[in-house]
Amino acid sequence: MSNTPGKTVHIIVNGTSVEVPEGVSVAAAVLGHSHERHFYEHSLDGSKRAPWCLMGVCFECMLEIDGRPNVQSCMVQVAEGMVVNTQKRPAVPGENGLSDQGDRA
Amino acid sequence: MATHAQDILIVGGGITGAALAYGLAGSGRRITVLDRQTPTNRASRTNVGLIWVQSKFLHLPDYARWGFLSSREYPALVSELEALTGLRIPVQFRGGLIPVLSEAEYRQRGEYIDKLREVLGEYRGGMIERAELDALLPGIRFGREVTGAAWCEEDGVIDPLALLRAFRAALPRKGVELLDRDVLDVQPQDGGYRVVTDNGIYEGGTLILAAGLANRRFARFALPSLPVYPDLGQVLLVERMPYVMPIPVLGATQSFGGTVILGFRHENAGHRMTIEQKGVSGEGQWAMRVWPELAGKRVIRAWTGLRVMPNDSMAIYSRLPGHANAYLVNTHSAVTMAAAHARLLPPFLLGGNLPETARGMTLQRFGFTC
Amino acid sequence: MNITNFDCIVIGAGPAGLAAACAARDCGLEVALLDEQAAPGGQLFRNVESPLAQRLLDEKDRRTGLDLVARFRAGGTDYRPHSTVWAIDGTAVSYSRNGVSERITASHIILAPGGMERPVPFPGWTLPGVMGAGGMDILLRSDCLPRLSRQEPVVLCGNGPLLLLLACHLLDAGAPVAAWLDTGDTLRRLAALPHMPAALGDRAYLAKGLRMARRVLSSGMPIIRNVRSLRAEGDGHVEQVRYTTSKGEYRLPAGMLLRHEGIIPRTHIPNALGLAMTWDEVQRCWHPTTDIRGRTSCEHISIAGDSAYVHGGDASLLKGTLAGIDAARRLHVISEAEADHRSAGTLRELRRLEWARGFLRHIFAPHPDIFAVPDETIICRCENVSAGDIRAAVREGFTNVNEIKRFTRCGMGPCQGRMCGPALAELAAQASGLPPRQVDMLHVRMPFRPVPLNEYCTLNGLGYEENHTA
Repeated sequence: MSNTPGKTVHIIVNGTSVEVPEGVSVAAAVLGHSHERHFYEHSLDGSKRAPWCLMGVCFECMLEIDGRPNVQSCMVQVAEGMVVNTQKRPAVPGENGLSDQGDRA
Repeated sequence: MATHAQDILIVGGGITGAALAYGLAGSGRRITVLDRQTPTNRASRTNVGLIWVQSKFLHLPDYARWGFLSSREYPALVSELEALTGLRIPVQFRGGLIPVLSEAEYRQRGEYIDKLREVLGEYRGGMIERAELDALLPGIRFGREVTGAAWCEEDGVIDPLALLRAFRAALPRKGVELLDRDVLDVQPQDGGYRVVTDNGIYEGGTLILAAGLANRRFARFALPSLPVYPDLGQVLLVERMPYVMPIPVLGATQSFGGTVILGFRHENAGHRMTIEQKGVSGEGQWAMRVWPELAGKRVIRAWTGLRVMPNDSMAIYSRLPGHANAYLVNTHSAVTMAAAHARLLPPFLLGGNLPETARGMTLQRFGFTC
Repeated sequence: MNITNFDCIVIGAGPAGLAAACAARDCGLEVALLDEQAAPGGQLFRNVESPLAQRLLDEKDRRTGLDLVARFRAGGTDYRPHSTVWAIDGTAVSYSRNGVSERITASHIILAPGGMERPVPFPGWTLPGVMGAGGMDILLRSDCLPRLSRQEPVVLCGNGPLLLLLACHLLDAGAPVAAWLDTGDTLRRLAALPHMPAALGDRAYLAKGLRMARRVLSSGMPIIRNVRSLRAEGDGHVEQVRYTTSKGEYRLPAGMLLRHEGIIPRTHIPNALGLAMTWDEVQRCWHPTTDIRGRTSCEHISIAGDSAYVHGGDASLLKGTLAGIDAARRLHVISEAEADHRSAGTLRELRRLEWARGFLRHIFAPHPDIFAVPDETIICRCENVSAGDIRAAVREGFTNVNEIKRFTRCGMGPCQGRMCGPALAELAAQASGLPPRQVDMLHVRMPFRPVPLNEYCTLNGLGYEENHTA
């Protein structure tokens, strides 16, 4: 369960395999080992975001983990073979980007 | 305590009170709105924002018609509010949908709508098949059980908080005084009315009670028991998704911000406001059958609200028994009816008659003389 | 067998929660402990069972942490890690674990969610590379140091003892630290401590603080006092930090900016449950109203540790012990006399610590100016609501933070106001001229944490139907 020095697992971040300490959170591993510059793009304005707290408060560490989007990655432990992706702003089918406002018919 | 004299006092500044005040502004009367909500009395703030007129009130045809009238007044009201305040009010007037989950339900709803069309003489909508539903909302992959939907082009959806904010911002600009006051007591006095608040006493020749459930206590000087009860609604809010629902779906409505609001339960439980997971989960289950993608989306909040429900569901627009200058307004459909309230009710509140469609909506139907 | 009924459910496996579970087990209660993390320890003793994390703890903390965790593991508590509590309904607790939600009940519930860093917004704080100091400390303890260099160094900014601890940890790790931008006057205040009689009641704590201060001062790290108007700038990541002092405006290149303005209690659950809360004028935060045994305004719920009031880890351990004993007393498993007997030593020790720490809350009080941020500052990170949006709503007559939330969406996102709540209240207070406690606190709704709809709707124990999704 807990990490000892030298013990590592491999996770795949944005397609690249990275060796990370066992027992740490996905968020910590992505910040400290695959050195991603940001985690996700904000759904309202597309701004790039990354973790603030790493302890479950800020909801800024959202990643796609093993196919599940918007996972709070600071609350998930790394596991061998885990597939992790940073997230793009979701697009609307048939439209460019998100409309936060309704339009008038 | 300071005493302030006005022509018209409106108790309640939710969507209904604010809409009435907005409609009355410009009548030359000095108007004050007194408002403070309690957790059990803020229906305007727990609303989904549907402007909903379809598939209801077969037994109350005038009330159904009243809804259509309001819906038709809405675009003008929204434009006017936006121009006056500079605030943007997200709104859609592209109709509304009630998905159905079986052939039987499809038939049942269709029959109801046919009867409604017959009674009203006019009804702009009907049942649509699954393929047509898919074409209307191409961004949503409906569940395999969905057989079609009831559709009406006169429904719509508005951001209810933006509407309320705009009304409230408009009032001072139109010369109406809007005050944050805890109303402690309402009494007739010397042919007028006296409202005691936590900060000043307000006197007016005309009184309008638009305080939602609080009307039950404020109207007691004239009505021992107002036929209005708290109707508990429970709602689940699902995280933001791309905006794919320009036409609102009843029971699983995407807000303009992208979040999805689930829930349509009505419950008479006094003033209880706690969430019952089990109850609200029923609506969640229904929503997942309609729109399976929701299953993996996260619930970020759940809340309850007490609707203001007249005993027979129909709005009450009435003078109080024995009081020519005291009015009471109570409706379950504050959002849907807001345009009618702002644009069609003022003549009545200034001493005239109710619009013909609304003539039957006084307290007389409950046996009161007024 | 999957047990669903307990005498006591403890929520949180930090010092308070672990101590509460141990004490309750010592009294013979059937105890379950739910915790979000993978291993016991909370923040202070995070991963304490791993040699890596032990390296960053001093000898005393290491021994205390290891001993506590060992006692907990041996004590027979039904320990459920990876468990995120999302609802409490009377005596029932709903939580999500590995993608499945469950509901268990208990006669008594002890909340021990701990503290969190006070989130203080400033322009650019949403840029990647800007973090809370506590977040960085977790990275260090996870052996996950981000890439840094002399050209892209760390800049520290803020006030409070944790920042001092982090500075030492960064020095130990050999990370390049460009400067400490002090928004309070941390080091000078610490130096004044020995002259305060109450602080002398807590010599161990004091000595540790002075030791750390000496370490930082002797490192040559530039310490810049009276820093105001902090800004982080960069394209998609922090590249530069700007700030002002009494002497003018300055810029520093930075690869990371770490902000810290003290620890506040995590109040989400007590708030959602409607427990009585108290506003702390000095530390400028809300905390649940409790007595020294953690009793709240609700008989079957008590609160232990920093989530009741931030006194630090050693105090949390004592508070947890008292809460665990008190739960057994309340359930008539032990007599009043036995409860008194079991609590006496712990009570004495906790009273002494609280007396000593009482002065610290003044020493490290946040400077109210830190919330005087420009209009363009994002306050609500989830919904992108700016300080200007909030001030506009106040000008329209909305002064209650819950009204401001409804009309601006500030606090409506997934974090449920955890990150913006304190700043929203400060801004509303500034703009309206009211004291912060009069603008109310954001109401929190269940679920405490986002939970997938299918989990919410198919929870065990409620007789829900199977879900019907395709």
